[in-house]
Amino acid sequence: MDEDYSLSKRSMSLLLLSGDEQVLRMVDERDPQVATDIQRVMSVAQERLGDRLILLIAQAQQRRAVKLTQGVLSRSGSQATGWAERISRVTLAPVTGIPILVLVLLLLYLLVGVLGAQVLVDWLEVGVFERLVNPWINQTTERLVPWPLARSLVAGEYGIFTLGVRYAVAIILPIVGTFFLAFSIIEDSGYLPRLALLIDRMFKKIGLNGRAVIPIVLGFGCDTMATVVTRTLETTREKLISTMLLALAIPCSAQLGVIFAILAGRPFALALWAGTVFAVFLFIGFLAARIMPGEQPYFYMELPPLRIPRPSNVLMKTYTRMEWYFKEVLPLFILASALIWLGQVSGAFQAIVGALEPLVRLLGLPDETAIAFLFGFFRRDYGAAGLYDIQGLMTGVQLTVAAVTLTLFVPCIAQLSVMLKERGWKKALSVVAFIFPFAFLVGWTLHTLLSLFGVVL
Amino acid sequence: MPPDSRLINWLEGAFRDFGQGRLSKEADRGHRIPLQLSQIEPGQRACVVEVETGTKNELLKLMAMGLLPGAKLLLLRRTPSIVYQSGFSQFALDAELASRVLVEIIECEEATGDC
Repeated sequence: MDEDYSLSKRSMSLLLLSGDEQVLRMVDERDPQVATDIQRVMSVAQERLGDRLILLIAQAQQRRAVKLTQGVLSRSGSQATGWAERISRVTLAPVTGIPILVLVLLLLYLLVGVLGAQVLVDWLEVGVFERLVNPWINQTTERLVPWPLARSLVAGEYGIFTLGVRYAVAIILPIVGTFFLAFSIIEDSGYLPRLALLIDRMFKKIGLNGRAVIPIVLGFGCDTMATVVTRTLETTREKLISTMLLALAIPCSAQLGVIFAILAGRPFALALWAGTVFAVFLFIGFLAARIMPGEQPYFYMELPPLRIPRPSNVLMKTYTRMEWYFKEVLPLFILASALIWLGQVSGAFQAIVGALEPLVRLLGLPDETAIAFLFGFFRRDYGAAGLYDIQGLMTGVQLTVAAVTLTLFVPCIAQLSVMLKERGWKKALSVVAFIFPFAFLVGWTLHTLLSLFGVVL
Repeated sequence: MPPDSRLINWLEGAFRDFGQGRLSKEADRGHRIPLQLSQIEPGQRACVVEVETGTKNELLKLMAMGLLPGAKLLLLRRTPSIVYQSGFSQFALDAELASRVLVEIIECEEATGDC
């Protein structure tokens, strides 16, 4: 090796002998001849020593490290007695761990569902946008833009500012912001690896392992971001299963907020909705694990000590995530409202709504819900919000059926574009091709069962 | 003699000497049968004897979590997954991966370093 790799030749050799593919690629790029020689040496060494070579190098390094630390490190007392260790044990034992999980979810709901989705959204939506921003934009465009068609692109019912920006800032931002805050606190406390361990066995049955708990929990905040996070899973199989489950059965925080509002005051309807969606999550995961070929996932994870999160770190993380979210999602919101505008003025929407009407009639729902279903594609929560507007027209059973179908129904535009980017168009489109009829099938089954037994919710 | 075969001979020699003392502990402990990591009880300390290698990836994972032949560990839990302490860190493994790690129970205080 004659090139300069900014590492000593000894380190390079040890890395190469340990089978480090990245280093081998590095050598190959600069000096293919040397790389071929190295590979020849490696294959002979591999033949004679097998994987022991890797173990031997690691052992030698380990021994040297222990020797080095022995000289400079002194330990006082046992570390297994602190409060953190005691709490850690309680979170790991299933008997106490599951109640703790329920408690954590409850706190998450209070912070995101109540403070974010209700208090903050009310204030921003009604107090800021409806009173101040929207009237101002409507008046300004009225004055400056003489053409009604162009005016309706930026202002009015479906305007880029009055719908797209208002939606992103007043509804999504507070919900997603409080979720990211809560998630950062949970993340920094070291609880997530313990949750992963607790839930690993159940997740194995649906073809995932405990590690997948991180993207799945994140999905309750934003499925789009969670789909990006499935990158951290190891096998393509796990990535595909989790992408599908996120698109199908994990409602995002914005959608959750609206669904809670629609089904509020109907505890049985809410329980039925949650039960159905959860059953679909398990059933489809279980089927996917049986049908999809690929290796069985392994679970392994370091358990960092439990810590009290540092407020500065938590705020910084929340801020960075919100910034990411905003940059990523705001353009899509604007695109979505522009498309809605286009659909409205071109008459394409009326045609699609007309095509959806027989489908929603099959589910026993009023025709007006077809619009909510179409909007559901632009944003999952647009759909639920559309339902919110017409809830007066519907019975409890109809609301439950509609809420279940909308939750399962196709992912929003942002999530679909991330799915296309992360999984490729073949896999992404097959997921959608499965979800679309399946969501209606579940809705239809629920409707048929509920009306068969004459249930009133 | 071409230079690369000289290197291999040297490597082989070096590892043969080196490996004798370290890797083949079975020889002098022939009477004790190693257990799988998933078979020992919480609270027991053990010494890793062998890591049965499936794929290179699995081996690297296990190594990264301190499971090298000759390393000490303390088992903390067996359910819902295996949790052990190695050095200053705690790790979790599923039963499947843990069954690839063969250990011998030891009686000593420290859970770090060699044995």
